[in-house]
Amino acid sequence: MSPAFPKLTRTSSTGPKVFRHPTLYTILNSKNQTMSRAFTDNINSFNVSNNIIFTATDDEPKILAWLSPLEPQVRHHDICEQRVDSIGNWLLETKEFKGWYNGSGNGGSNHAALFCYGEPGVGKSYIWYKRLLARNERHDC
Amino acid sequence: MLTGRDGSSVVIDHLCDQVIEQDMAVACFYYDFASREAQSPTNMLGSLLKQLLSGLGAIPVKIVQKFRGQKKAIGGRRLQLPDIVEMCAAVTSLQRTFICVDALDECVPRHRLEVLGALGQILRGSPNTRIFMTGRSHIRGVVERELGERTTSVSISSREDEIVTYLHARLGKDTNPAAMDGFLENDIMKSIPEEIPETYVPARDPRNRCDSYTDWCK
Repeated sequence: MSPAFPKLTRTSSTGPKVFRHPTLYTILNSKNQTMSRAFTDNINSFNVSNNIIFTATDDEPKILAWLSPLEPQVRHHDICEQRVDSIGNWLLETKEFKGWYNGSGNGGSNHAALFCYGEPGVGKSYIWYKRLLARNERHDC
Repeated sequence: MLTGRDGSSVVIDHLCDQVIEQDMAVACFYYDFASREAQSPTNMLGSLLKQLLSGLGAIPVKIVQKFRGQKKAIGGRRLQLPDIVEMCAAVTSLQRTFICVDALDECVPRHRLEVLGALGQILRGSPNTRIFMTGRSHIRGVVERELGERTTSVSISSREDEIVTYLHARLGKDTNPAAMDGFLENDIMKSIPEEIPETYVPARDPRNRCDSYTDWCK
């Protein structure tokens, strides 16, 4: 469904999931550490600005911190620890999810956004709420 | 039982598993009502860009130049939203990219419009990008309006078997189990599946940060 992207290779079989773009990697390892041209022609077909230039820099950690102070991956780990196994896996089997994941038409751009909506569930605070009600009812007796 | 937040984490985990085998990138963002002021569009989109660049291992020269030049102006200033969106569109075009945004309803309304506009720009510039969002149903209209016909909306609701599984798991983790008795546990297991709330808003209740239900009853 998607045009072919350049093959990415993982930099290490262990540690974080860090992947390196082959075109970037090649150019970054050339004598001139700054990319002097755009990406390969097949990238241009994705309507990418063809004059974007990348570079490797020792300032990368500072620059990434400067882009945003927020660390949503921390929140993700917290939520995963709270989540109950197997709950929600059915969502991955729905035709809406599969249609979004695989894409269709217009170079895969149809169904590019999937919005899942609903009301809040019966979470732990609702159990607390029920407990409080039960306690109050006992006190009323 | 599936909440929007669980749905987001399930999808993000699933996508992260795919990253190992496929050429793709994943970035996520969780809105939180308690942090809504800090979660400005600039910080939110900047966070997505930060995650995507972390995976690439290289920085656009334009960003490097802005970073080095910004210290000369009013003691330092952040990258502006249009620049962030432009860079996001460029970086997402390098590889198949999935962006997941949880609890859009907990975003400040005026920020939500800006963020949806920015996400729409990214999609237009990068047709192979996929965006997954969750939120309460009252924002469905604005999501579909801002992202147009690219959007598919799907209702997620609780399934009875998941409610029972969830309740058993939560009750098993109560940090003060001595305060739970058989009568109350039976009441919870019977009544909650029958009363899926339509109006109660646990996500916005600060009490849901407590791990022990009994602590709150003291």
